[in-house]
Amino acid sequence: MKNIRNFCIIAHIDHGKSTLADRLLERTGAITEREMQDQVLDDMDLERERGITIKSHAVRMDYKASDGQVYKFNLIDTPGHVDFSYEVSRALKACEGALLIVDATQGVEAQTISNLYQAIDQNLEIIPVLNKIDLPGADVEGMSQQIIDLIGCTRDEILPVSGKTGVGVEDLLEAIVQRIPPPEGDSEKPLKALIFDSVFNPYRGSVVYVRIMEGTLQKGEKIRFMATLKDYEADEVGYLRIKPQPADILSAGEVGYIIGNVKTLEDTKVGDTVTSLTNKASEPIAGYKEVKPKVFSGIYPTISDDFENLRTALDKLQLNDASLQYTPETSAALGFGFRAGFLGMLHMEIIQERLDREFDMDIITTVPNVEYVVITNDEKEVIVDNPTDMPPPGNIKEVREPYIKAQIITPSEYIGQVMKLCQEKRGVYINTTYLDTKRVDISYELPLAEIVFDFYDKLKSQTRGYASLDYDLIGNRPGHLVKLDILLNGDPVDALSCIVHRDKAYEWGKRLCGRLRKLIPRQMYEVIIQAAIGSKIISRDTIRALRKDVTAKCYGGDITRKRKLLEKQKEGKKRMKQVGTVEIPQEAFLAVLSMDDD
Amino acid sequence: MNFDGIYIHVPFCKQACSYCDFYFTTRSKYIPEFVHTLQREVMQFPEYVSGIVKTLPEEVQRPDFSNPTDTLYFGGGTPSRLKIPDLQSILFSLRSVFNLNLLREFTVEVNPEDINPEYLSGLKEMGVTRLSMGIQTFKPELLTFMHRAHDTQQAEHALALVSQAGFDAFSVDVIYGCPGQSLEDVQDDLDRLLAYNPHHVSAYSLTIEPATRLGKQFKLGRIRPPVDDLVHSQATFIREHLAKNGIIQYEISNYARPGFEAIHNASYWSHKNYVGLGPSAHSFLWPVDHHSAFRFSNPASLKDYVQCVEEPPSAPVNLETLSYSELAEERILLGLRTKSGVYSDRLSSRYRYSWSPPQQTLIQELRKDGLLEPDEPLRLTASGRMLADSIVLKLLRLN
Repeated sequence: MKNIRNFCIIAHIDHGKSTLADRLLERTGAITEREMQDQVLDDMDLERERGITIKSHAVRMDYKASDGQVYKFNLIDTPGHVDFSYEVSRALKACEGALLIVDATQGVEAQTISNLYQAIDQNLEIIPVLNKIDLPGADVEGMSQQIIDLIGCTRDEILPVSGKTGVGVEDLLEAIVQRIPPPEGDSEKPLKALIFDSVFNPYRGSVVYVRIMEGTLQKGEKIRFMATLKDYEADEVGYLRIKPQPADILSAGEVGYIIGNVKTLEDTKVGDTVTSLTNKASEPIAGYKEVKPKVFSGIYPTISDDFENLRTALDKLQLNDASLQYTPETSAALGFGFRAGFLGMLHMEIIQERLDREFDMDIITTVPNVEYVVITNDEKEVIVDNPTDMPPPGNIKEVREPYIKAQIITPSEYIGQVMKLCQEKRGVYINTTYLDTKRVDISYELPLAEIVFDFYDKLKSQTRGYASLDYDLIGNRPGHLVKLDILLNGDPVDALSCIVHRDKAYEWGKRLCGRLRKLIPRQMYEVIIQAAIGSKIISRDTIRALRKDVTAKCYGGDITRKRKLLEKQKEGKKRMKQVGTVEIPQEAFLAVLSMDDD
Repeated sequence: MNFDGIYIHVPFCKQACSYCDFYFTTRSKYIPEFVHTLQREVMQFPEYVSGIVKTLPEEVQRPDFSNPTDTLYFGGGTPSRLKIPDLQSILFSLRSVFNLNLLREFTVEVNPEDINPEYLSGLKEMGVTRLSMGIQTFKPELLTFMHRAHDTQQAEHALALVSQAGFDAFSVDVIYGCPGQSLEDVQDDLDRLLAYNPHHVSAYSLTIEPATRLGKQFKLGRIRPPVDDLVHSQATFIREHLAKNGIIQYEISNYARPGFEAIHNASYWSHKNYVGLGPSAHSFLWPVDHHSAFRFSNPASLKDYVQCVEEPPSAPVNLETLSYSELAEERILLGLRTKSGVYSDRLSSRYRYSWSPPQQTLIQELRKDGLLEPDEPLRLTASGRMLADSIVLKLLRLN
């Protein structure tokens, strides 16, 4: 056990985490150059494209150190986005050390600090690494000072490296051996293995990634997942090399995988403890949380006939992503679909893109919203994750919405813009801390609903990309929230309803009506667009009736051409949704998502 | 059974009109080869069409070429690019295959820049009964925009000649709804036209087709079609103004003095059998009471066309077999564009098509909204005709 080093990497997007990790793999011979497909760890196409890690990954490397001994390194890669902060905490729990990677041209970012504090809280040994020192813009001196201010290390402890050229990688490998303590844990005690991730393999079922905290796990042993209380047999156990390497036994301190014919990821939840059925641990490892979605949205097939295909696609996605939740729902406007819950907006976008790319599903998503708690006049508590379920205004005593505490790190020249943005989003100011002379850490309490939308994009655009954001849920608070309905020729379009703050309802209503006027094509009849709160109309717009829609020529004897045109139009119309007499194109349902474009 | 109409596509043009996406070429040196090939095609046609006929069940009636043909139409392109002797030799070949003794209509399309008194009398001697002339507009700027080969003066002159040449009828094409064209421009065009007392007017709203010069300009954002309100008012003006002068709308783009409606074009709209000869021309054959019809067309390139005629395939190329439901949709689509409309009982007897309950509901709604006339045959009102595409699409989607 003394030759095991378990560590993770804490880094901001684009700070070179994956490239550096690849370099470590290469130097330790875990992969040959030939096997090296750029950035091995991010293996989903989407991860590569977006340059972020969505799932945790782990890889074992054997390193022959200068003391002549061979060390087993387990690198656990962590997700790099605020939507996945719980997964990060579990990955950290599986480690004794962390490499804090800071881009020498960029400096420390909020997401890094948040994860760093979590790592420090869990008593991880931090090795500060200044990456990309080969770049012309690298400010080694200034960034080192930032790191010193942040974690209180000495100048000498900071390792300058370049993942690109490989400079300093050798020193880093030695530092991992020398500074990160070996794992502790009694192999004689009952088995306690922490699940820090699980992936679905279509042939083998759920593959569980674990860190053995105590005890041992033998191949063929009967096991129990302590939170879900599901029992299985560990058909195969092994180490996570680039390809899984089966082993007979995993002992305390080791990182590996378990395959046990587990049909669904539902049974193998991140943070859960695996124990032995014959020699049960009395207590699970602390810190397990049921992951709950924070953002909800309707997902509907563009063409109604595709409903079952959509269900199949979601079922398949869920096999790989247990945090995706969905239940069937119906909408008068969109027909049959699903209400899906996501960890955040990024997670939602990822699911949408995967439905499109991997399943070729053409979908309409409705306005995302958070989960509200409505107290009715008769003191009943109603959970609302779909605006349609909102009780009528006269029956509502109070609406409570989730709040978050946001930590925003920005260059100090953008303090004004950031505070203005937070105020616009109904934020409550907490404090500002100077990280150094140029960078500040601003804290705000904000309604989650205000940040799930476009907050992050706005923050980025108003700080020229420099600000970074992290947040934690801090509970529900009452707010003046109302349901805003959109009516077309008097018929409400349920899929366009949203819950907004009363003070913003008029502005929203006006802009939404204006946008819809542009997006809904003129039809045979006039279309009146109205925004309403309850029975009160707050905005109105009109789409005039189409005056002329007729082809001049029928191409002589080539009637076929005309008929084919008609067939094409018929196909096109299938993508339109009909509410009353009004035909609504797919784009109109997305209008609300991009309300700030105009 | 016979072929009711014959269409000859003459693909030669002096220059390329900016809006036109019919097949044409400006290389007149190929005219002799074309005339020769066309004659050969005519002679081979019965054999060519037998490629379809021999697949038919025995009890189905075969086309009989000795039965008289109603209409003959030379279109293009610009048929007036051909000299009278060329037209005569084509006609000579046609007579040897088809029975043209009882022609009800013999139309030739002409362009203003091509005609003179001798040419017109030549046509008349051949038996041409009807001329169709592409004037499009009198306004110089718009003629330039359309890239027409004639100018205002030539247009006036040609109209004077045609109106005095003593044909049974003549028709004039105009185009409205062009970028920059005002309602006053349209009024002026019509008034100048009406001074020559045409029997028939085809007024086309400018359609920007992708594969044309305008299509390219549109894609590049250099031109923008006028707003539909303006086009609508132009269309309304044309309908009303022509009506005041006794020229009545009988199809979306076609107007005639009563009794002078185009017979040949109408045969396309009512699924009569027609022969199309020349490059890109379409033929249609629907044997009586047969469950399917055939449409086939020549290659839309002179070179491919010549090759196809020289080495004829055993069965027509670009052959499409149409089912009852496809035919019915075509009939509804085309019939609703005409003032005479479609009879529901005819749809059921000839096309085996009946209105579904949702279609019947829609028909009632359209009647209530004044877009459809209240009785049979099913036909659009003047305001309904302006929305014919939307209405047809709505109706046919509900089946």
